[in-house]
This record gives sequence, structure tokens and C-alpha cells, in this order.
Amino acid sequence: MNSSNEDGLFQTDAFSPSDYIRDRLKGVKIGDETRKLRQLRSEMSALNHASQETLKNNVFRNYQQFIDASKEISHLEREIYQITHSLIEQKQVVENLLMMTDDDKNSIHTVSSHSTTTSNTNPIQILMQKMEGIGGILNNMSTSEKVILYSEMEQFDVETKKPLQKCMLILLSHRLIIGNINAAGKYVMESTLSLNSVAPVNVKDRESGAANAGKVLKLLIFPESRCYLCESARIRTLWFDELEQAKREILHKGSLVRQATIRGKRQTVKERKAAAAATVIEEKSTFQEEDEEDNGDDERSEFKKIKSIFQLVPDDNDISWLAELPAELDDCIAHRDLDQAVELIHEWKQCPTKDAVIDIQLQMRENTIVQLLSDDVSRPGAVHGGPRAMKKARTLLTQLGRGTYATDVYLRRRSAMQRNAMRDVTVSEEPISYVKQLCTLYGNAVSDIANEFRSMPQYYCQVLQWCSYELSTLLNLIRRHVIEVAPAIAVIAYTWKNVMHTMEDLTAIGVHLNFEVNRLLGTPLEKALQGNFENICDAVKMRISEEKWRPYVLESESALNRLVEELSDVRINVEWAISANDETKSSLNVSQNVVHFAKVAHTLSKDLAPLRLSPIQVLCEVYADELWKMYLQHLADNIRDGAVFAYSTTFILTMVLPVCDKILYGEEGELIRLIDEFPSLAPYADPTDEEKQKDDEEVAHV
Amino acid sequence: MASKKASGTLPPQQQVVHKVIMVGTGGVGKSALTLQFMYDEFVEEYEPTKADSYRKKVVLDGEECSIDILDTAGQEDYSAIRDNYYRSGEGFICVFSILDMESFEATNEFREQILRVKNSDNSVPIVLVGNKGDMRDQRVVPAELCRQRAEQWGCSYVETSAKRRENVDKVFYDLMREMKRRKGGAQTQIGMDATATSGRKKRSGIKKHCTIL
Repeated sequence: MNSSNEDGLFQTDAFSPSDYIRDRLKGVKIGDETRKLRQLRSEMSALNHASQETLKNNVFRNYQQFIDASKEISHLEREIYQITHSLIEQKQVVENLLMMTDDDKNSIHTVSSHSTTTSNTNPIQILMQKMEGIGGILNNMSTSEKVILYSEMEQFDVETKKPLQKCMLILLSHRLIIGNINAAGKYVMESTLSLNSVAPVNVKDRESGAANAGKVLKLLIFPESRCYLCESARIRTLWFDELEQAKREILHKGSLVRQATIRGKRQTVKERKAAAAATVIEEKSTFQEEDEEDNGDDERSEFKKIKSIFQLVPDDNDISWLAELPAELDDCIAHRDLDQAVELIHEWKQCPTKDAVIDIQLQMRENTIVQLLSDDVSRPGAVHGGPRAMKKARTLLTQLGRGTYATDVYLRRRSAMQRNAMRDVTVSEEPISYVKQLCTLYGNAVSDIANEFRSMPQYYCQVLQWCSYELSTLLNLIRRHVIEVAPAIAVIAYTWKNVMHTMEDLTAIGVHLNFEVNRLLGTPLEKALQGNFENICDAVKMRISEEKWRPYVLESESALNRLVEELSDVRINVEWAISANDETKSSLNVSQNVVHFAKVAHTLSKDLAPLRLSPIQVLCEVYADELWKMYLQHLADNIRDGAVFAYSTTFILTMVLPVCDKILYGEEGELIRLIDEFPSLAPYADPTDEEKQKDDEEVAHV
Repeated sequence: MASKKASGTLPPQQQVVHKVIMVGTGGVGKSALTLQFMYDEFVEEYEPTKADSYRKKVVLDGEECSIDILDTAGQEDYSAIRDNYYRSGEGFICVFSILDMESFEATNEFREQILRVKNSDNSVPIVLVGNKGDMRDQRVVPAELCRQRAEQWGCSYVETSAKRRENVDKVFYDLMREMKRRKGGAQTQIGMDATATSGRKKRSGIKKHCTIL
């Protein structure tokens, strides 16, 4: 069977693989099938490889051809474009020639395919040829005006969805010209509209089908509206955009003109003032020449003269300007051009001519502007873009002489923001992280405000007041959620540390409010500490009452090692008190309650240490004293023979007390003096005695 | 008499057209409400509108009429050129999103602009619409505040969901009714000027008769 036959066989619809295999195995010896099949399989896979290779080659060859074809196409496209361009040019040349010779007026029917264009070849002539009655307008256009766009369209009835008549629309920089076609087939100008009274609208109409979809442009020409069917959706969009753009342009120019007028106005006001001042100086010098002795009245007469000049020369220009000012301001307010409005108000205040009626009107406008600006500052939405976004409104308010008010409104807004931010901080299981977050929020806000107002010393008082108010909010939250929920002394200490850290940062930038913290946090801290200390005292008292002066036996040697290590970590050495006569090496010659006290006393000292810098310093020291006195009294009352008591007392006096003292009071030490109040304990505190005792012990053991 | 009869069944080209304008900050759902009303569909994608006009024939209280909806741009940079659009409106749907306080605050500005264009005519029909009602659980603007504002404006407040087509028809039909009432009132007023004041009762009497016949 040759390969071409096989190809045909494989491609038939009735090809059955099982039959094919059966045919191939016909006449093969039993036992030889596997070998035969393997051979067939290898043949097949060889064929498969070969065909894949061929396919790949084919693809490459075709791809090469495809690339060549694409290149050819793009080349041809370019040529076609060039030809089109040349044809258009030729057409224009022909049209211009015809127009110039005025041979054939009917030629306007030949509408170029590029009827919508931002005319690069003099469009005015083309338009004048196409439409009657526009010569006057087009020829008298100012240099700033130009033809933006012109198109032929069909006026369209939205009710019946049928075209009414052919029209031509011409968009100039400031106006729109509409021309209708007449019986002779030429356009005649029908109307010319100021762009200020025209508004473009896209007509969405799915019902009339795809033919007109997206092609209908509606022009709102108050009180009527007209619809025009454009050649394509693209042209409709172009017209819409250009109309909108032109309208914006007009508005922009209008505002520029207004500004220029105001600048001019200000200039004249200034000049007049300067002139008035110059006259006064001149007159003054004359006075001086005439009467040198009469110096005392000079200054007064100068003021009088300035006043009289301003009062006695009512200016018609000023009055007419003032009369227009309310309307001007209304316009600015309507467009929310508050910069301009504030500038105008400023002008009005500087204007020497006054008119009571106009002044009342302007005062009303000024109040409206102030209201708008303060809304901007205080409105929740206005904070988008951060507090800096409110800066403009504040500056404007300051220009209107409402600086303090603006600052007040602004700071109130900041307070509200701050409250929101603080509300978002969840009161978590970890009071310290809560305190940290609150402090960070407060610190950031204060430094932000302080930086913002750095260059405005006139508002420092308000800023400081605000900081103090915010501080009380912060401390209230901390008090309510942390200090008053009876935390451990450690938490109180960390809270204090965090708050003070924030306050130090603020002091560095000039906001020193530590005294406020002392005032507001003193009492709550005192209460919290008192509660804690009472609990500690109760626990210690209970242990004291249960004291049996027995060695502290731990369950194993490792447990003892752990305890020893734990104590040595806090610099309390207890190794010397391990019982030598205990084989298991798991007991201490110090009683369990004494070890407990050592831990309690150490923790207390550690926690009280940072609080010694707080307003409750005295209380901290009193409590430490009280605890130690109580314990030393207990030791003094229980003096007895026995190694455990001796070791315990020595342990307390020589190890625990000095360590706690050092933590709480530093190198100088205060607690150590307490031993003097208990002379009976003195032998235990003496290291030499200790040595002696140790020796005694050893002798006893031997 | 004959002319009155004609006014009952106007030929199609003279059908009453109610011109409604959608106003409100960008992205509050003006176009969504319009498209839902027009074609019963909700478009998820947001594409800012410039100025789109829609027209639909509706039957309002048994009378056929057309509604012409002008869907305007909400973006701030259009504020200066809005006046021309507002001028053609007979009724306004002032939309805000109940999820956006700023859009609610802005409704005051839109109303002020409408009143300015309409020469401070306080009776111009307006409906205050709080859209995105399908996300009430995330609302930022309290319903009470919206009602207060509507009361202050002397108009009705409707909460809608363009997504779920909640109250969409109500907004448009309520407004059209108000516009119709106002137009009717205006016509009567003109009639009153033309005829003697005493003739008014007679007029309405005749009209009643005609309808029965």
C-alpha cells in the first residue's frame, strides 16, 4: 500500500481505525502482532514528524508571503491617500477657478466629500460662493474671529423623523450662521445666532433605527430647538465638541476682559490717590514756606485735606462703576468665581466714592460671599484633597478681614476630622497600642496645624487654644478607655510614657502643653494607682500572715534553676541560698513568700519608676515606702533562729531592697535608709555578718 | 366649542411635550435613571454625559403626550455653560446619590442656578431624587435631611434605584403631572385674562358638558 493510497483511505468518512488495524494484522503469525503493531506505530510517528515539519515550513513560507503582501498593501494605501489628496486639491483648484471666473454658479451643487473641514484653504470665499447673504458678516470679521467649521446638513423633524430641508451651518468663533436651501439650489442665510444663546445636544434615538443613529444634532436656541441630521456620527460629534469649545472660549475671553477692566479700574483709583497725596504734599510745603512756626497743626490739616479731597470730588466714573458692581458680583457668585468676587469687594472698599444704597447692596453680597466661603471651609465635602484644599477659601476670608473667623471655622472643621479619625481607632485588647495610635493622631494633627500657621503669628492664640482643646479630648479618651478600666500599673506607666513622648515632640515645635497633661491626668492616675496599690498590699499582707519560714521546695532541680535564672535576670542573686543539704538540689533556704515578695517589690519599683516624673510622683514614693516599711516591720517582728529566716532576711535586705531602690531612685537610693528604722534587722544587712552566718551554716552542715 | 373639542384630541404633531431636564453632580445616576425610564435597561459602565436628549411617547392619566428628557453634564467644568440648557426646561429632576454627601450639598447650587435661569420663579416644578437606593445600607445622606430639603424647596422627595428600577417611573410621571397641572393653570390664567372673571365658571361648566357628550 503506497502512501497516497493510504492518505485517501484515512480521509474517507467511513474510515474505521479498528478495521484498519485488523486489515494490517491479517495473515500475521500469532505472537507476531505486537511486533507488527510496534512497527506500524513507529512508521506512523515518523510520518507525523515529517508532516509537522512540512506544516511548519509551509507556515513560514506563507508568512513570508503574508508579510510581503502587507507591505504591498500599506504601500498601495499610501499611494491611494496621496492620489485622493491630489484629487481634492485639484477639485478645490477647479472650484476656485470656477468661482473666480463666475462662469457657472450651479457648480455649488458639487459638494466636496470633505464638506466638513477646518478650512485650511481660504474658506471664506468658498462659503460666500455657497451661501448668499453672508458676505457682510464674513468680510467684516475681526482678526480674532475665524471660520471654525461648516457643514451641509438636513434639518430634521424629531416628531415625524423625516428630513425637512437641506441646510448649511457655519460655525464662527462667536456666532453660528444657518442657511436654508432655496428653489434655485443655493443656500440663503436664514439666521445668525450668538453662541451664547445656542446649546448643542446629542439626540439619542433608538427607535428610528441604525440609519440615523448618532447622527442627529439638536440645537437649543431659546425658546425653540432644531434638529439637524449630520452626514455621519463622527461629524455630529465634531460639531458638538467644536460648539462647546467655542462657547467655553467665549466665556474664558469674557472673564479675561472683566479682569482687565478691574485692573484698569484699580489703576485709576491708585493714580487718583497718588495725585491727591501729591497735591497735599505740595500744599503742605507751601504752608511750611509761608508759616514755619505753625507746625503743630500741619498733620491735622494734612488729614483734613486728604479727606476733603476724597469727599469733595465725587467721580461719575466711580458711581457708574459702583452701580454695576452688584450685578458683577452676582455674576461672580453664580460662577463661583470667588477670587474675583473678593477682589471686587476689595476694590469697592478702597473706592473713595460712597453711595449708601449701593453700599447696603454690596454689604449683602459680601455677607453672601463670606457665607459661601465659610461653607467651603466647614462643609464636610470640602475636605476632599486634604485640609490644604480649604486654604484658598481661608485666604479669601482673610482678605475680607475675617481671618480670625476663618481660622475659627477651619479649626472647628479640623476638630471634627480629628474626632472622626479618633473614632476609627478601635479600643482594642491592647490598651498601649490604642494609646499609641491616639497619640500619633494627635501629634500629627498638632504639628500639621502648627506648621500651617507658622507664618501667621496673629493666630497663635487660637491655635494654642485648639491644641489644648484637642488635648483634653485625647486625654478624655485615654482616661475613659484605658486608665479608668483598672489596668495594671505597667499599663498606666506606659500610657504616661507615650503621652509624655508625644508632648515632648510637640514642645520641640513650640507647643508646650505638659502642664495641661498634669492637670487633666493627675487625679485619674492617682485613683488608678491607689486601686492597684491596695490590691498589692492586700496580697502581700495575706502572704505575711501565712508565713511559716520554711524552705522553698520546688518540684525539681530544673525548676529551681529556672527561678534562679529568672531572678538573676532582674539582677537579684539567690544562688547562694540554695540548700546544700538537699540531695535533690531543688530547695532554697529562702521562704516561698519572701521570693514572691521579691518579685512583687521589683515589679512595683519598675512600674513606678517612670511615674515618678508624673504629677503623682509623691504618691509613688509614699507607696514604695509604705510597702517596704510594712515588710521590714514584718521581718523585724519575726526575728527568730533558723537558717530560712536568716537567709530570707539577708536576701531581702542585701539583694532585693538595693535592686528595687536603684530602679526607683537611681544610684543615690532612698529605700536603703529604711533599714535604719529597724535596728534589730541590722545584723542581717551587714555583709560581714552574712559571711559569718554562712560560715556558721557550713560548720553546722559539717 | 369646536376648538375646545380639538384640544382634547390633538393631532400628533401638536401633541403636548413635557420638557424635563436631569440635573445633579456627575456620577449620581442621571443617565442611569433616564436609560432605565426610556429603555428599561441599566448600564453599569460610567461614561460622563455631555448633553443627551431623549424623547418618548407616554400616556399620562389617559392622555397621550411626549416627554423630552435632556440629560445634562454634572461635571463642575460645565457649570458655566449650563444656563442655556436649563432655559429650555419646564421641569427639573434634581438627582443626588444617597451615598455621597457632597452630591446632596450640591443640589442647592443646582436649584439656585435653575431659579436664576428661570428668573427666580419658585414654582418651577422640581423633584428631588435620591438615587442608588439599592445600597441603602451604605447611605451617608440621612433620609430626614432629604425630606427637610424637599420641604424647604416646596417639592417632593423620591428615593430611587436606577439599578432595580425602583420609583423610576414615579419620578418622571409625578413631575409630568406637576408640569401638566402648571401648564393647565397657565392656560386657564390666559383664558381668564381674555374672558371676564365671571365667565370662568361657565367655561368649566361647558367643558364638563363636552366631556360627558
